Amino acid sequence: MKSSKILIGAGASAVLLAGCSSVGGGGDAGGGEGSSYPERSISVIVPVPAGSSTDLSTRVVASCLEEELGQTIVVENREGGSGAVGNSAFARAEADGYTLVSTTAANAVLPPILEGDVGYDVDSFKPVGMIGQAPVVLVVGPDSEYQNAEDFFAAAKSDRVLVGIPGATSVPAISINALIEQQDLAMEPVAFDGNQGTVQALLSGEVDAAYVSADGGVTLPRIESGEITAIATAVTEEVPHLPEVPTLESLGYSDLPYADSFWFLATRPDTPEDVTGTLEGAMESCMTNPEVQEQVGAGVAPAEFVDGEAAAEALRSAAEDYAAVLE
Amino acid sequence: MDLFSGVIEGFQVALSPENLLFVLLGVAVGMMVGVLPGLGPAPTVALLLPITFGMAGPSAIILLAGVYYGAMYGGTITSVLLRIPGEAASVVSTMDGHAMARQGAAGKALGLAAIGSFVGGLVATFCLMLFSPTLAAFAMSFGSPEYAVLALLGLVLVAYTSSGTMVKSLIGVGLGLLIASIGQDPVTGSSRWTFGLVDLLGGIDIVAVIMGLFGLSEVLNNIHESRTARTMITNIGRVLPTGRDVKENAGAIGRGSVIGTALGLVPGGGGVLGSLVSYGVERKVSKTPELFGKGAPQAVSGPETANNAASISTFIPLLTLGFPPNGVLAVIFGALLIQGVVPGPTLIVERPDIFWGVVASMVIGNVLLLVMNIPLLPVFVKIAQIPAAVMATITVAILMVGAYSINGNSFDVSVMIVAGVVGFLLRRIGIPPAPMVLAFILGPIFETNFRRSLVLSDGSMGIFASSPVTIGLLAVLLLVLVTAALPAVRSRRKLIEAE
Repeated sequence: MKSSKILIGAGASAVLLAGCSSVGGGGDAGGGEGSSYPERSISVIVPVPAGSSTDLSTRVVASCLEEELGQTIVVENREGGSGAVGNSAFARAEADGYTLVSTTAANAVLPPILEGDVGYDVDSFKPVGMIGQAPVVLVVGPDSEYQNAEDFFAAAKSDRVLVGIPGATSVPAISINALIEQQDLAMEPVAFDGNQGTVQALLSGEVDAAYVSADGGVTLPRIESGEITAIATAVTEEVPHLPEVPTLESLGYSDLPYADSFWFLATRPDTPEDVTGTLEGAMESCMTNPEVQEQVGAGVAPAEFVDGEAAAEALRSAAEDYAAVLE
Repeated sequence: MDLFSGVIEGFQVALSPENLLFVLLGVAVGMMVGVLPGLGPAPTVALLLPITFGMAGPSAIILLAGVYYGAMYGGTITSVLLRIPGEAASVVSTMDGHAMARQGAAGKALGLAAIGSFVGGLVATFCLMLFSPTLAAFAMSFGSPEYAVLALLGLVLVAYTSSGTMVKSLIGVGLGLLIASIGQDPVTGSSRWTFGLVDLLGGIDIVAVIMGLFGLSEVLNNIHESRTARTMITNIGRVLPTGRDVKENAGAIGRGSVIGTALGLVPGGGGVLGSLVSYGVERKVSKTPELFGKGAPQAVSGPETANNAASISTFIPLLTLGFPPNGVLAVIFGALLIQGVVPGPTLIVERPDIFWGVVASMVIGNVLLLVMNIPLLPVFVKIAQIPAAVMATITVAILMVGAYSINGNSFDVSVMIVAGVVGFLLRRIGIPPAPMVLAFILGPIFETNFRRSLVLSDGSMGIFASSPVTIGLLAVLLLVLVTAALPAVRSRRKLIEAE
């Protein structure tokens, strides 16, 4: 019994070393009790429905992590309440690295602000690496009368332009409401079911434009195929894979809440450091793996690995942005 | 994808070894529960739902569909031999079917029912193949106002066509709508009826509700009613019908196929409605209506054809519009959601493997049922004698494990138990579970699309009369409401309620 445990421990520290070597650390890899992690299967809670963009990319990364960590990873969808159901289940789990979560910043931050006590808040997550990101874009149909952002906003000032958004408490919803209030616009947001439903409504002509995240599953492929046209992005810097699409900031709409949706893998805050180190190392190998990058999607998978600390920083800044708008 | 390549793909899916096994398993389980009095197709499908979690999409639906139409075959056996309907859609056969059995012609009744079911099943399957792609393509152009009116029409029809009095069905619909409103408001995102419980923020899980309302409440109800054993007629006689039998019943089987297929499409419809209407029609066209109730073969072959046809055509609204017309299809709706497939007009295009695979499996399943039916009769007769206590214990155990396995969450087990007890109490006062479950599914579709339409139109109700589709649907709605109030229809409904 004892010998087999040591064997597993040695295997795990080898993985740990391999994972950490590229970060330049790896000094804390020892032979202590905790370094035998992982000794059993790990579950990853995804607080959104199966088949969504967050879910699909998490599954890609999970199958890579399985190989890196040598243990089965079970992805569980616990949807509902804009992420509150799954994230609160995660917040009740032990801080041992065997229950992880893959959540968007919005689902981590918004329910506690909007609903009050949901059993977790932004400090319940210790990110170990970013999985994907999708800037919010303003898109129109191919035959739209608005061919650029200037036309659109000129009309939106005085007319009731209908803009589809993917849900009442989504990132785009909060961003667009701030935009309308700040600029005193006459446009009207209409909530649909997710990106799929929103883009479908745009294509069928029910709405004049859509304000959705440029995810790899629904929005980006249609922008690339020319079915819909992106006329602005709601982030501060130009998006590399959407060149020539102006940012709202460059159009003079600044101080908008964070509208760059991103999702990350996280463990509980009190997780032992060697465990988070192992996870972060495995995440780095996976997220820099070209195959994983391709499956998650060009433009969706971060070009360079965003480690736990950087993801945590982005999460904190998103939390401050949302709190400022909503309070 | 055209019809031909669709059918080819379908058979490729359905003829794979594991899917062949699932068709066989589905129809065999279906026949078994059809035979067992007190365990109908809806609770069984609900019970099997957790087993499908880990299965591929087509296999899951192939299995559950097989249970449904398999039960239509099996239900006849107990109706004829024991005068207890194995499931609700075979109620009609307890009259003439059992009368035939007492006259020594049990085999003839069962043989005709099996052949009729087979013909009806094939006719409905071909309609499913031919019309679904077109209907789905048409529904692709539907926007929010169309879905709002369609869902409203569905809700009204559910209340109108369900068994039980209309008032009690309406109460069921109202309760279903109320439960559906738990969770987040779809338009504003604010929480409703959650009492500060995070678990309720996501709303009530449909699968847990279905397992409770159909499964557990059924078990409780059976215990409460604890049926007394009846003597079974064991002298079956010749099963294969003669040429003359076939000739005499060809008309009834033909009419039953059409009636059943059409009534499967109606919300609230399905096997029960199909068989009742077919019985009425056969009595009307018969030259010897005085024989009805005393062992007229057409009173068995027609309704048994219709209930099987209806059980298959109920898949058309689910797979093209995302609207489940009855309780069993509501469970299959849940099964699709678990597979990550949202039932709707895009299903046929996005998941041709599921659509065509299921359609092809229905052809195979009906052939299997016809072949199995006759030689296995003695086995099914034995199954009908399993003690209720044994069945109830197994059922409750499976329900508990199943509810937990939906999300690995004990909250869903509580939901299932509460739904089961509430469902049982409601049954005691005559409120059936099906309208509740259907309203639970249709309610959010109606609410979201209705409110979204009003945002789109800036509050003007005119949007609901702005397209030919909505105007047509509103006209049908008006027609239904007017006819429901007519005295002639009211008295006929009384008859159906009395059955």
